[in-house]
Amino acid sequence: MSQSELAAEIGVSRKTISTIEVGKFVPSTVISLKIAAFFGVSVEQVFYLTEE
Amino acid sequence: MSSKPLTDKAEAVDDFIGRVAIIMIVMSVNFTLTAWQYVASEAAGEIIDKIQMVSLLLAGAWIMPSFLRLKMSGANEMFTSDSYIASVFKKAAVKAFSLTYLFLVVAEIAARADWLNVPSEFYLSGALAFTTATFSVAFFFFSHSEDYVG
Repeated sequence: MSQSELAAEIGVSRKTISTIEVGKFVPSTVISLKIAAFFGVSVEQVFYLTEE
Repeated sequence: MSSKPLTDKAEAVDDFIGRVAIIMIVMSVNFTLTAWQYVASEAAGEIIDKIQMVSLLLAGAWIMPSFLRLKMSGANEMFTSDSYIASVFKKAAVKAFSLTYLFLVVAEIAARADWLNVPSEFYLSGALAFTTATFSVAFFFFSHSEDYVG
């Protein structure tokens, strides 16, 4: 699936998806829930904290 | 596909916000020219007026299609506040506000001490030029930076 296709499904811009993907943008709760719901997984499976 | 209009709305918002940031550069130049008018000759002032008029017309013509696209897309609050570009916009606005505050403190000291021997309007135009310039620079810096925004 391309970034554009995911953006279309979630209802955000492609730039928003690409910056989430590379860890440059921390999405809002709403976007996080939409992405998780689209893939049929929990939010924690998509977004999680990393040890710095 | 039913989700296509949603992306159109999001892209319309991003496009408009990006153009607003660029327009801020034009505004900054215009405010700088306005400040310059207080120290420039009358002949130079007339030329500055014409430059400002043309640049504002061009800026308006450039952003109007994006504004109309945004309005026609029917994007609501979620689309205008929830994207990467919107986050960068807010971060740049906060940075511009902070730096403008410092600028105003220095400008007030300069005005009281009459360092530059110019009217107070010079400092007001200077502050507006500084604010818009700072915002634009911060926006493009943050949008091209590798640091995360959220």
